[in-house]
Amino acid sequence: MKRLFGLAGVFRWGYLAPRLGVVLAGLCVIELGAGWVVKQAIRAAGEPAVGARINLAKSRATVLGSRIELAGLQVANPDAPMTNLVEADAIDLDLDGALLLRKRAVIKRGSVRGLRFGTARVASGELPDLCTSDDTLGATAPGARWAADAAGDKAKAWLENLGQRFTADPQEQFQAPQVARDLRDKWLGEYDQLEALADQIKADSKRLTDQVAEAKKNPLRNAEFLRGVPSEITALREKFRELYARADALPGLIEADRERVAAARRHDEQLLRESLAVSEIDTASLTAYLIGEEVAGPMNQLVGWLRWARRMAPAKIDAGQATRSRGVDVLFGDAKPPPNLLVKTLDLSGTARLAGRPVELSGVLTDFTPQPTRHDQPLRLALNATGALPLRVRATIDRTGATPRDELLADCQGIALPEMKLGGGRWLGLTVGAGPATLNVSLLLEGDTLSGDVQLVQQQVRVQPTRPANPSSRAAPLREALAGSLRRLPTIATRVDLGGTLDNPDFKLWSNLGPAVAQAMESAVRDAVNQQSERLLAASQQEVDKQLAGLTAEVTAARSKLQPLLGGLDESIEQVATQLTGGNPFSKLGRMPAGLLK
Amino acid sequence: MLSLLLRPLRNAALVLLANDSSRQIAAGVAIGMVLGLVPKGNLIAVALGVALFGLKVNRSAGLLSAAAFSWMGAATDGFTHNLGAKALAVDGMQSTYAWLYELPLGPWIGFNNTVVLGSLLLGLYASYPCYLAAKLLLDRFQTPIAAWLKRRRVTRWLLGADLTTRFGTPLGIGVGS
Repeated sequence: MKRLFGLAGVFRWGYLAPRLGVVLAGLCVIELGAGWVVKQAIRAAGEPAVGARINLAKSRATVLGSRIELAGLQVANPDAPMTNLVEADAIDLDLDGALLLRKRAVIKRGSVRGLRFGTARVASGELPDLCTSDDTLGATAPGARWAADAAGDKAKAWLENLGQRFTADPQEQFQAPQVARDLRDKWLGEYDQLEALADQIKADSKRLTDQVAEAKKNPLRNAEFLRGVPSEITALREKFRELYARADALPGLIEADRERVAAARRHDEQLLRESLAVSEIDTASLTAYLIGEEVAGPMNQLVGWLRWARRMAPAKIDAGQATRSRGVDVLFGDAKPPPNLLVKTLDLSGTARLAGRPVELSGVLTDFTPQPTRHDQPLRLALNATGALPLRVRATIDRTGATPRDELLADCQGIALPEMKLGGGRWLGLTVGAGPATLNVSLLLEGDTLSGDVQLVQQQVRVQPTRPANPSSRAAPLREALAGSLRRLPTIATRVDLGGTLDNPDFKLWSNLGPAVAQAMESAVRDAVNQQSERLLAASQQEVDKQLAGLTAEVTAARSKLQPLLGGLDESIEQVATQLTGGNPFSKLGRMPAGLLK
Repeated sequence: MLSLLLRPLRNAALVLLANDSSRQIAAGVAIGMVLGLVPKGNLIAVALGVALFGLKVNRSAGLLSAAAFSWMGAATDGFTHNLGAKALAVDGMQSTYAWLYELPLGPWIGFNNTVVLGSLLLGLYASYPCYLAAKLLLDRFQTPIAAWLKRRRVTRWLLGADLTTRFGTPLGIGVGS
């Protein structure tokens, strides 16, 4: 005992006692201020990681009781600062006190109650000094190769071409009506010329008659003139014969020209067939055209989430030894250091709105750590939604092996999809009515290799072609035929196969909508082409018939007019001859046959 | 403020002018040497600090020694790292190290850091020679140097009026009782 008191004399109790008191007071402050420290630590660590503000209404922590209680947690959405990414009413965490003394925060069991997503915020959640990063939450994958792009362009070009064929007016290029019009003009001109020539002959014969009568009053003085009259009469007769021959040949020539109209008509039919001929469309291209844009956004967002998750849980395995500014921390026993923060089990409960319908969420998050490479168990999330929209989500983030592995399985029954407008192009747009659907997601990210698929099946669908703003009358039959075919489509199944890597994802799109629309289009286009051809050819024929009928009538009228004119000419020439001979001195010239001009 | 600025000089004077024995001063120098060599931010450094302030040793000598050897400690990092790495790699000690590390507060001790353990070993190895050398020097030079210092006006000014009570008799300026 004496020795003990002797040892006690070594210490400066006057120095140690007040300092021990200060240490005890410090421990009390730590116990009382642990809540504030936890609150600041959550904000300091969480805000840079999320990229938005984190608010915490209340925080209580006890070091001696190894328990943390948080209330009113709000994590702002970095993409929409006036909404919360997630909100929780209460969070209770039971820590392993013994491991706290070993520099590790291990939450044995915790619960998050009152989870809500996408709620409105009073103040903006934007961080003023945050540097923007490509890896923001759900950001679009920059290098995404969307296989549907090229196919969609191909279908767009096909539809553009189809539309132009139906809106263009091939009648302008038809030859038959023009040929008929030309013939009509030509033959009417010909008859006009004959008529003018007949009038000329008639005038000449009348002038000659008058001159002969005048000459006969003094035959001796006009003997020279009278000797030349017979040759003039012969010339008149020659002209008359030529005129008569031309008039006689006209009907035959007209018939020959009618053949030209028939040949032009055959040409027009050929032209129409060529202008309305439509090549077969690739069904995959049509699928890409109709659904590509609708699917590309969510798929890129999904890959963005995977990139974000990979950033949150890095794939790189930490070295077994942690380095400090001075020296190296050597670890004993375990091959890798344990994580500094580990949540063994966290019960989740709350509400959410999925596809516009409220659901109750419940689930369990196990083995969560921000240093997953240091833990021997993968992070697992099991989430169930009950209520209007049953949903099961199973996610695994595995960093236990040499190759990082992330897996996501989701099964959602009874999604109420809203009305969608597909295509939206100038030539073909579809409206898919609201209806129930099922969604299955199966994704695997092994290393950097992406695989899996997303399937969406929509039942009891009503698909209708969209009426364009300025509907073309020519496209109306096509639209009606398409609507009739699509009415028979019972379900729409869509599948997106994922491949490639996280940096360069590759998507392949398949849907039964493309083949169904292609089949309907093919049938509708065939019917429309037939109708269009018949209509255009009928219109052309009507024009030709009208021109030819006009030609016939006008030629008949012209012939009727020319016939008496020619008969009068004959008599007029005979009258000149009679007057010259005073009887029948030129009977040897002969007369024209009576029925010659019929 | 002036008092704060002059404290190092005052502490330096107190190494020799305090009423501590040469053993206490030498022990303070030895503990300060180990504290100076060891990197801070671990329970070993805290324990050494508590020892320096809690034991009846010359605190001023310890603090001056710690400050001086802190500069030296950084320069010996290469050697202490190798020394610590070798010590931590001893096969027969692995289970002991693991047990120690798994103890409550084990990771806070900091012994698993190569430089911490190496500098601790170096400091412990050099502490007794350092103690002996310091004691030898003090036994020989403390009294004449202290007497010389006491004669200096600047020394009296440095120590200040608050210390007159403690040094009143030797300095001849004590309060009357």
